[in-house]
Amino acid sequence: MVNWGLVFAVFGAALAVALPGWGSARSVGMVGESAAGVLSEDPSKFGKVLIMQILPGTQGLYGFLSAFMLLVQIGLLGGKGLQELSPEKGLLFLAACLPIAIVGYFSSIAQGRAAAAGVALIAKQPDQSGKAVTMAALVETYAVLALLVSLLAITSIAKI
Amino acid sequence: MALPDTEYAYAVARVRANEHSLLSAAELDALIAAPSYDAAVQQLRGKGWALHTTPVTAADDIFALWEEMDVAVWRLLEESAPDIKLFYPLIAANDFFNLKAALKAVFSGLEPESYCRTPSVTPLELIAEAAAQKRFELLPTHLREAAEAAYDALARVGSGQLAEIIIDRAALNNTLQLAREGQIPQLVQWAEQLAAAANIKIALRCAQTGKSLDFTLRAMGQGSWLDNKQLTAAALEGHKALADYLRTTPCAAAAEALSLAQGSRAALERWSDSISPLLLAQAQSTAFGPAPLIAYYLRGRAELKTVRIILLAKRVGVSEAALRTRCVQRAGGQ
Repeated sequence: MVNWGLVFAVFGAALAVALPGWGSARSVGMVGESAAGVLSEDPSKFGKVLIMQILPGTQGLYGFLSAFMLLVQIGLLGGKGLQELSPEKGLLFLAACLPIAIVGYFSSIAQGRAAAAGVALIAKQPDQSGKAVTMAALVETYAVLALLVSLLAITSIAKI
Repeated sequence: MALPDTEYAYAVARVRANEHSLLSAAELDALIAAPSYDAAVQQLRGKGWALHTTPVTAADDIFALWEEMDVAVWRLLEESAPDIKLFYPLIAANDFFNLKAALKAVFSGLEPESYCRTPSVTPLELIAEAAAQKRFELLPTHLREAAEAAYDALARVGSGQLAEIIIDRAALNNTLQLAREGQIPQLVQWAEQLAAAANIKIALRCAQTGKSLDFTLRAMGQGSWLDNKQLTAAALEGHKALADYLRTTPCAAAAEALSLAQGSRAALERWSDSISPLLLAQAQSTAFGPAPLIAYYLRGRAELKTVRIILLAKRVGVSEAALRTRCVQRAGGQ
């Protein structure tokens, strides 16, 4: 018999990893292209543009963290053994993953664009790199909020 | 077909890294105010112009420098743009200029290399070979028809002027066609402005020299901003009628230039050389898309044109005031 609760929970974990990971990969790649454009003209800016490239990669880590936490809570990881999950609880876990899955994806894309614009700013005015980092980092706020909600929800649902 | 804006991330970053090498409005101003030709050259050297490798000792050298730097600006686009063919409208006219040079060389016995223009889409060697051997089928489609018609005009009718208008019209239409096919809005707008400016100048010149309506219309490109018949009719009536007509079209700025300068060609030239403020604004405010590349190429070319004017003027001792009226800050603000 299919354990629908487990199916929903694992689906949630998969979404939490896949969507932000996809968004981060796209964005890090895009910023990497911008960075390569700058470095082809001035290799000395590597340090500054590397920070910009790293920034949109964090959403992928947040998704991984959420999924890892969920897999531990349902017993697929951590050695506690597989927990009995009702379909309702499985759906709750799936819902708990949605904030980081959705916000993680879209915020990484938005942050990638901001970071690529920052790379262009650094190319033209290297002394403005601090502002470029700050502007791109502000997008991170919403990914962090989504991560917090997902983590809190996962741990709370596990106690039900 | 136009590409997604994010495909231009690499190219835009390279352009941004190179933008600081363009002359700012203040630097151009200082160049105009330079007390002598040598002082102007010194200022340009300070900005990194490769005048040490190409000594600017004669007008010819200035033209050589112009070619060299124009090619360098284009090469940056060629190396970085995701699909350089989309930007061919920017240099398409050079193919036709080279065709003109090659055809004239056939009849004059001169070497076309001395008169060619770079960068170009079609290699000059191919154009020169096709013209010399009268094998126009060697040429790409966009050049072939114009080459055959212009050759006929030169060989049978003996009219250099007719050959010129055939080639110039084909160049305009090809630029427009390439821009429309590429579907980059900024390039389409640039090509339309180019065609409109050329058509206005043709209409004015034909009206002044008493050319027939048929001749005038044959010389004009097929831009969509102006109705060529109405334009020609307005030009025949005079500058006021022409300005009134232009005000009803996307060329209202040209109308103002004509009115303010009472039909001065210089004012019209300034308008036709000007880069759209909208394009410059778009280019400044985006990290993606083709606008920064187009603006960079146009600004680079405008800067070269301005520097050439300044250097030649300094060489012959034109006063600063006279030079200032001629030179528009084509490069725009940075």
